[in-house]
Amino acid sequence: MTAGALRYAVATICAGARLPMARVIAASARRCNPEVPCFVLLADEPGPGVDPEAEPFELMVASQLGLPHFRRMAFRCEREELSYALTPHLLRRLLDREDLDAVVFLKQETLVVGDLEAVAGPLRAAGVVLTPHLLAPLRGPDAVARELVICRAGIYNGGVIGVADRDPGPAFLDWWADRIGDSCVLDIAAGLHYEQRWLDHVPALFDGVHVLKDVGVNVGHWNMRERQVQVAGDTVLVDGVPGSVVRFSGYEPERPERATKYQDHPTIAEIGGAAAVFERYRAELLAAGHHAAAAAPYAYGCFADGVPIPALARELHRELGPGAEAFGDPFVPGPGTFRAWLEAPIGTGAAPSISRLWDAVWRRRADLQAAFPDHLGADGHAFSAWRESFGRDEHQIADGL
Amino acid sequence: MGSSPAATELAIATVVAANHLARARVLAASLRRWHPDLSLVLLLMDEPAGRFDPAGEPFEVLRLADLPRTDDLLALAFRYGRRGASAAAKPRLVGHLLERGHPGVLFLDPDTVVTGDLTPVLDAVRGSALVLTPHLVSPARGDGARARELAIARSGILNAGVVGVHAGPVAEAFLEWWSERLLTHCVSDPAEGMHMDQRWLDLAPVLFGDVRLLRDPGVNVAYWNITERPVRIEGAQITVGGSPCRIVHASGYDAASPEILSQYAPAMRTAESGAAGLLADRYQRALLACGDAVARHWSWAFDRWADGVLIPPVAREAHRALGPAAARFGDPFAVGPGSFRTWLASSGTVI
Repeated sequence: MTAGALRYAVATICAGARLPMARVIAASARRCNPEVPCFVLLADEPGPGVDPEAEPFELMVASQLGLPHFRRMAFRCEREELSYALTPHLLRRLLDREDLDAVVFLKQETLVVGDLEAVAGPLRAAGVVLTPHLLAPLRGPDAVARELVICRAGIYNGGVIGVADRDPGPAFLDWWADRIGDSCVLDIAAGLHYEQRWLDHVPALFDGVHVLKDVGVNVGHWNMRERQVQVAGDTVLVDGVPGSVVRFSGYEPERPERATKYQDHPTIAEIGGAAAVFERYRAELLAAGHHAAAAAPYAYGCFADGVPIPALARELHRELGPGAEAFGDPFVPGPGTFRAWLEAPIGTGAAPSISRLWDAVWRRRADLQAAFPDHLGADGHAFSAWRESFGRDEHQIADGL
Repeated sequence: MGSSPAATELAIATVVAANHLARARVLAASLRRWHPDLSLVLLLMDEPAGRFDPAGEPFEVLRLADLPRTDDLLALAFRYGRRGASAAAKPRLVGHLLERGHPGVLFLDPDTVVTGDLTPVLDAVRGSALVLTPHLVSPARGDGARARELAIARSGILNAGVVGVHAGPVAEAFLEWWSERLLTHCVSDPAEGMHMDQRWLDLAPVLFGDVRLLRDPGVNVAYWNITERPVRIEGAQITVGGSPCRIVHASGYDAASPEILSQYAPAMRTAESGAAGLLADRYQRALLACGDAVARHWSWAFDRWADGVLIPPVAREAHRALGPAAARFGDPFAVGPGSFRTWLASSGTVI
C-alpha cells in the first residue's frame, strides 16, 4: 500500500437479470463518493442489451477471471449462489490491482445513502472489516426466535465487507475462497449458509479484523425494528446520525408491501421511516431497468443444447465431487458426458426405462418409495406416469431429461 | 479447604453434577499448583447425598439454595438433564459471584486443567468486561480442515468452557441475556442454530461492548485444535506450537475409555497422539487418584420426581417447551394435584 489517501473501490456481483441492482449501487455510491470507482462482476455472460461503455461502472465478466474450475462452479451453483461464491475471487483480483488499496464489497441488493468512509475508514488499519446483523440484544416476544435466525444465517452479514491489501485481507480471501469451493449451498444443519456463515470464523482465525459496530451500516430487515430510520432530504438518519448503507435482502419491487421474501416480518408498514428508503430504492430500481432486465436469460441456466438444468442435476454433480471431472464440461451433452450419465437408464430394461436422474428423484422421496416400491420393475409404468403427470412440474425437470 | 475465597480477588468457578466430582478435584489441584492464591468455587448441580462431604473438598461448594432464583435453577435441572443443567447454570453462578463482590470471575468447565501460568488470562479478565476463547485461532490445517471448521460452526465459534467476566454494567447485561436465553434454549439443535449454552456466545461480541477474544494458543487446548497446536512436554513446561500451554480442555475425555482423546473425536487415538496422548494418560491417572472410578457411577439427584418415579426425556422437553408458562406449576419435581406431572399426564403424554 502506498502512503497517503486510501484508494478504494466499490464492488458488487450479479447475474444479467440483476444488473439494474448494480446500476443502483454504482449510481448511489457515486452520489455519495464521486471519486470512488465501482466494479461489477457479471456472474453471467453479457446479453445483447448490455453495453459496458454505457454503464456507470467497470464491467468484469466471471468467465474471464481465469478461475481454474469456473465451468464446474457455474454448473454446481444456482444463479444467485454463483454470485455469492464469486465474492472472494472478485475481491482478491481487485486487491491485486496496482491502483487500489482496498475494496468495499456491497451485495447486489444495496443502496448507498451516505459516505462510504464509514466502512472504508477502518481499512487504514485493519485488513478486514465485517458488519454484524445485530448490535444489541433483541427485546420483545420474538427476541429469541429472531436471534436464532441470525445464529443460523451468520453473525456477520455478507452484504457489506471491507478488505484491504494488508494482513489479513488477502489471506482471509484465499481461505474464504477455498472453504466456499465450488458449492455455495444452504445447509444450516451442516453449518453452512451460502458464503455467509464462514464469516463467523474470521475474527477468531485472523488477526487484524475490524468488527464495525455502526448503526448506519447494513441497515436491513433483520434490524430495522431496532433502528430508527428517518429520511431528511438526501440524508438518511439512523438513530439520529447519518447512515451509509441500507440493504434490501429479499426485497422484490413487485411486492412493495413486503420488506423481504425471507421473513413474514417486518412488513413495510412495520418499519416506520425506513419505508421511505424502500420507496426510493424501488423507484431507482425501476428507473434502472428492473422490469426489462428481469427477463434476461441466464448463461448458466441451460445445457449447451438449451435444455434447462434442474436443481437436482447441479446437486448430483456436487455429490460426485472430484469424480465428476471425468465427464469434462458439465454443460455439454453427448456421449461420455455428465448429461449422458444423468440420462442413462437404470435397471434391467424389462420395464419402461428410468434414468439415473429420475432414480435420484425417487431415492430422495420416501413418499415415492412407498407409492412405487419397485420403480425399476413392476411399478415402472406407474412411476413413469407419475413422472409425466406430476414429477416434471414438481422438480422443474424439462421434457428432454 | 472448602472456605470462600476472599471476595476482593478474582474467583475461579465451575459447575458439576456429583458424577464429575473427580474432574473438579483435578482442576482444583492443577489450579493450586500454578496459582495457590486463587481458589475454586463450585456450584453443585446435584446433592451430596452422603456420598462426599462438601466441607472436605478442595473448593468451596455452593448448593442451588445458595444462589438467588433457586426456582429457576430447579427448572434448569428439570428441563435439561444432567449435562445441560450444568451448562445452563453457568451465568447464574458467575452472576452470583460478582454480586458477592468478586471483581471478576474466570469460569472453567470441570474438564479443564490448568497446565501453566494463567497471568495473561487473568489480566484479560481484569481488563475487559467479557473474555471469550475461540475453538480455533488460525485456519484449520490438513485434509479434514474444512470439515473441522464446519463442526465448529455448528457447535459455536467460541468455547463456553473458558469464559471470563469482569464486574460492571456490560457483565450484568451479558449475564442477564445469557441466563434468559438458557432458561428455555439450552439444547443441541444445530439446524435451529443452537448448541447448548455455547452457540449463544457467538452473538456476544457483537451484542455487547468491551468483549475481548482471547486468541492465546495456550488457552483451551483440546482435541479440536491440537492439529494446529502441537503439544510438547519439556520437564514441567508444556508448550503448544511454542507457546506456554495454560489451560487444557479435556472435552469428551472419559477415564473409562482412555484409548481415545475424546468421545467426540473417536479417530484420535491416545496412543497415536504424542505428547497430547501423554497428557491424556496423566489426566486419567489424576482422575482415578481423585475417585473417578467410584464417583462416575453416582446417580443424579434430579433424575426422579419427588416420589421416586424416573423422569423421562419427553417430560423434560415438555417443560422446556412451556417456557415461562411452566412457572405456574411451581417445583417441577413435585407430584400431586396442581403439579406439572399431573398436568402432563392429563394432557395425554405417556410417562
